[in-house]
Amino acid sequence: MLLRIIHAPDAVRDAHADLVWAFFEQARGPLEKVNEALSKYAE
Amino acid sequence: MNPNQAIVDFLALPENFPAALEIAEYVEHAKNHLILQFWHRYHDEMTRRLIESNLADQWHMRLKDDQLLCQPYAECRIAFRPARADALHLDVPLWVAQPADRLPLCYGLCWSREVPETPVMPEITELAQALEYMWLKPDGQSWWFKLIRL
Repeated sequence: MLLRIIHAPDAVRDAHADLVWAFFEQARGPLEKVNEALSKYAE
Repeated sequence: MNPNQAIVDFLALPENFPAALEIAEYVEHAKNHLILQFWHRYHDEMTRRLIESNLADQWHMRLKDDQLLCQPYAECRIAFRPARADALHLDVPLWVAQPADRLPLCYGLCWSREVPETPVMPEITELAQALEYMWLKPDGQSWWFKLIRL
């Protein structure tokens, strides 16, 4: 699968980065709250 | 008859087999090279996006070069990692399980270290609800993930 993505045309090959970036942007708000809460808990 | 049998027979000929062996070895090197190139390209692309989005102070890309160089196929994982990453936290990795050329890529959330069980906190409940809405599946150590099928 990885090799198939590597050999795909640029537009398809870069689509995985778009997918992960979209997820990162969508999840970032609640994710940062969790990481901040865990950080305070550790202190 | 296997449709590829003609190729196998051709490669197995005494005059062809030494060259076939040599090519097979170079193909392995080429595959490893391309996979490393893929991870580095992903790392650079996401770093560029973090900088352009003014998030580079809060998030870094974590690329384990030594792991990749030793075993480019094995459990490759590159993650968005918070800049303040001393305590237990969640990363946003892209990874592939073995064998890399057969299984799809995955992305999701992963604990920075093994946890016996998910901590109980209202912030985690809120995050879990958001992930469920995004159709991410829970999975033990990885916690939540989604397959990439392109």
